[in-house]
Amino acid sequence: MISSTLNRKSGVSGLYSGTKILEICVYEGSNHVARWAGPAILFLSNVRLSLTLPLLSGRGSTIIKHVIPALSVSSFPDFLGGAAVNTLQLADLRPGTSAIVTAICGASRIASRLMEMGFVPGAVVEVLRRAPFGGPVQYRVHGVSISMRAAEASCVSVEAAAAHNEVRTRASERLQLAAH
Amino acid sequence: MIGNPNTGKSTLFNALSGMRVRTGNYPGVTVEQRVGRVQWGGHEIELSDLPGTYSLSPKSPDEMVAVQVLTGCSNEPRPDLIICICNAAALERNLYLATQVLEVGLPVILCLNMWDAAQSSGVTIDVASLSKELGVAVIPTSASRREGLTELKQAIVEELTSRGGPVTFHSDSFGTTILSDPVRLEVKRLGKLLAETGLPLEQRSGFLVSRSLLDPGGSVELMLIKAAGARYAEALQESRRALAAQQLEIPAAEARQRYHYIGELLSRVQVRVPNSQARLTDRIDSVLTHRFFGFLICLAVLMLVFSTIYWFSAPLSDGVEGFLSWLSALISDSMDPGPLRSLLTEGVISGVGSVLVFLPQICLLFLFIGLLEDCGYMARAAFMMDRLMGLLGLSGRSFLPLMSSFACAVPGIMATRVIDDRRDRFVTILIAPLMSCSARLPVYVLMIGTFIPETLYLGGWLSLQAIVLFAMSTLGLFIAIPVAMILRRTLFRGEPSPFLLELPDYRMPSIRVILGRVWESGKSFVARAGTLIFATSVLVWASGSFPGDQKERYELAGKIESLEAADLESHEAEIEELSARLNIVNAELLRGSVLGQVGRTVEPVFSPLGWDWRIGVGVIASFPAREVIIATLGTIYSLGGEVDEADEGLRGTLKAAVWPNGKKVFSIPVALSIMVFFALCAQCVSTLMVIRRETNSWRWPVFSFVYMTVLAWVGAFLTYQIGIRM
Repeated sequence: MISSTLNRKSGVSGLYSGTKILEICVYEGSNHVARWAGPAILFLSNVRLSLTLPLLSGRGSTIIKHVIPALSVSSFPDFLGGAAVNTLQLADLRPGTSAIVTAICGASRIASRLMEMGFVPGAVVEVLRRAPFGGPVQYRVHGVSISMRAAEASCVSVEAAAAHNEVRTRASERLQLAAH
Repeated sequence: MIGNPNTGKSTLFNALSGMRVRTGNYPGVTVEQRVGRVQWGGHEIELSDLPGTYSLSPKSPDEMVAVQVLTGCSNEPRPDLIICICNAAALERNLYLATQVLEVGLPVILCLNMWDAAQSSGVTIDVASLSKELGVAVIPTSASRREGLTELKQAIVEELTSRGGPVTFHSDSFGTTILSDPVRLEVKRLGKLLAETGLPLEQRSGFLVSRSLLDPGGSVELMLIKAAGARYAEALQESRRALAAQQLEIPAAEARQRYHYIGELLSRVQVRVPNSQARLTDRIDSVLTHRFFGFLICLAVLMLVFSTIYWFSAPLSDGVEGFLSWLSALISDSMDPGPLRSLLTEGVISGVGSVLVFLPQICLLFLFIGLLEDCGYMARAAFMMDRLMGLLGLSGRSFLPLMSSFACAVPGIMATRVIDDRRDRFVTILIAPLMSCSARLPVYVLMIGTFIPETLYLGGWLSLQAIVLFAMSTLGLFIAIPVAMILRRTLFRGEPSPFLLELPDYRMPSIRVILGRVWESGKSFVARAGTLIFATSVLVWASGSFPGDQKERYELAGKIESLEAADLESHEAEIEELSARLNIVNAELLRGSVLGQVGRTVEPVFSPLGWDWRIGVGVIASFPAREVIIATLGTIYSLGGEVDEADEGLRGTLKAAVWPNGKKVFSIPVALSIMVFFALCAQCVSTLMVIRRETNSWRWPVFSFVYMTVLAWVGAFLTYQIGIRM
């Protein structure tokens, strides 16, 4: 099982205890690239893994038994959105709270889809409610209501926001209302 | 016309193009295409409604089509004008697509739809400033109230007529872009590289180059690499690395820049005043999607929908049946008994008719699906049911299509269009026919009513018959779970696609649009019924009538009719005698016909199920529609074809039917095996035709038919073999 501190660090990229590792290859010297059943590609450096057999069996299902943490912030390349260590994830938030998005990590597909829907760094996300049976959670961002499962929500790093007030812009004084 | 989903695009499209809409599929894909022709200001204009998309970096076949049409890569001619439709109440998100559309380089008109809803939720927008900033015409509209349409039409005509000629593309500048300079620089550089490869200008426009840069692994990138070679791939990597070094990681940078720009723009032209109206959707949601009650409410809504359908469709179906009998009588009166008359009444009318009788039910189901989807509740249902659907390996979007299939698989399968993940959609389509549709009910009622004893439990509250009926109805659902799991692991492997479902604000559904859709769907269903089902019915009729000497049959029928016409009491006994003889003749003809011979030849296939050849014939004959088996059984057992499942005569005959050696054919295990077979089989041409249409190939209907028939056989086999040993 991955230790909880590592969980925090690597959870940002979607690597959890019990995650299926699909393949591991050596890349550029000491860096290892591991691809797992989740959406992300993670570059780990200076990590020693001891794994259960079989290691690579085509469909390769192995579980990380023990990871000796030697991860540092710099080992996360920029394309992961500059994921900060020890940040909160959207999946951790309770209904009725809000937060500000700090980064999106994960593979291109989910990340760009999330970003298109409005989950960009700096956006305010409100957590509305959870579906029955522990299903997806409903969020509101940029005025639009979007639901997603925990798997997608764990790709979004957030930081807790102070209660944000409705913004009244200076333009409201200068604005000329349209005829409609 | 392009825009996010849930912006009222379809309503606007219908309002603009009226009834002259042509629907079809885009070539090669299962994405629906809607094109309308209109005449405004003396010009003939073709309006094309593109599938809703969140951005021009395509993630699904729908979005792919939109991008291809806009960039002229598809077989369709490049459009002359793009109308970008936004939800005025949610511009913060909707403008994302708009900023991308502006980069295409084609003329654009921005349409702020749902203006009325925006106003009442406290949003005010300075249209003039917005128009000036973006450099395009901005028209507020409210399609459901038909406001702003004239202005929109005027603007469209103006834009189209003021352009000199076709738009030219430059590879180094593209439309109006809000991307920052470093990105523009890279696009320029890549564009120069492409210019050296000699690609025509349209295929390497600035927009396409930028898309290939900003969508790693996207289809535009692949297309350009294919055209320009590995050198371009390297150049792309270089550009991305260069941008990453400047803190502009692809693809995050694009989203950040766009939203930043939109935020700034809106802070200048939009004012949002929160009021109670804005939260109406939230208040409704807190009840309808409540953690505990939301689920119950959803079930209640479903029950309501189904009961309404049954209540209303019964008289309508009777009406259709009545019309068909009238038509049949008309033909019978005007012709003498003969092969042609038999073809028309027993082949064509009864075959096609047994499908048309379902038309009211199908239309009502389309109506309810349309209502639920338009008002926004369907997204909530998908949201709440997602976890349950996850058990099948599917997502919440499959919930409504599967539930609809409990009434009839035809609208259910057509409703799978909302499922954007291709694999999920196919699996849903393949298991939808397993849901116990209403055509199976007559078979259950017949078998249960005849063979299941009327034992009561719990002091009369629970009857064995009801339990068996319930079990049969839910059998398909239970089998669907492992089937879905197997399909997901074998034919449709892959990671589950991300579940990102937008829950639009609740709004009053537009009846006009929904009725229009019901009309379209009903029309296409009837058209299919008119062709292939017609062919199948005729085939089944022919194989059931020939070869065989039909003379005696027509003589008898003629005699009976003339006696009935004379209408004298003294003839009644004779009429009865002749009718009985006619029934026997019919049964013999069936026995000797192709269908009968086939039935007897394949009897060994059905005997492990405990069936005799007559049941086998009934099953084969019910290929056009499941409930045909009842009429076929009636014919085979010499009762004439006009029996239904409540007919005492048929029930009595079934109970009495014996094998050649005297043993009774029907027993409880046999009845159960027949019901299990029908629960799992695919004897419905309409369903197979819809599968063909939705999957755009013949492979899947054939596959469905084969796998379901095998499943049905195995199920019936097990039921019978276990049943006789108990």
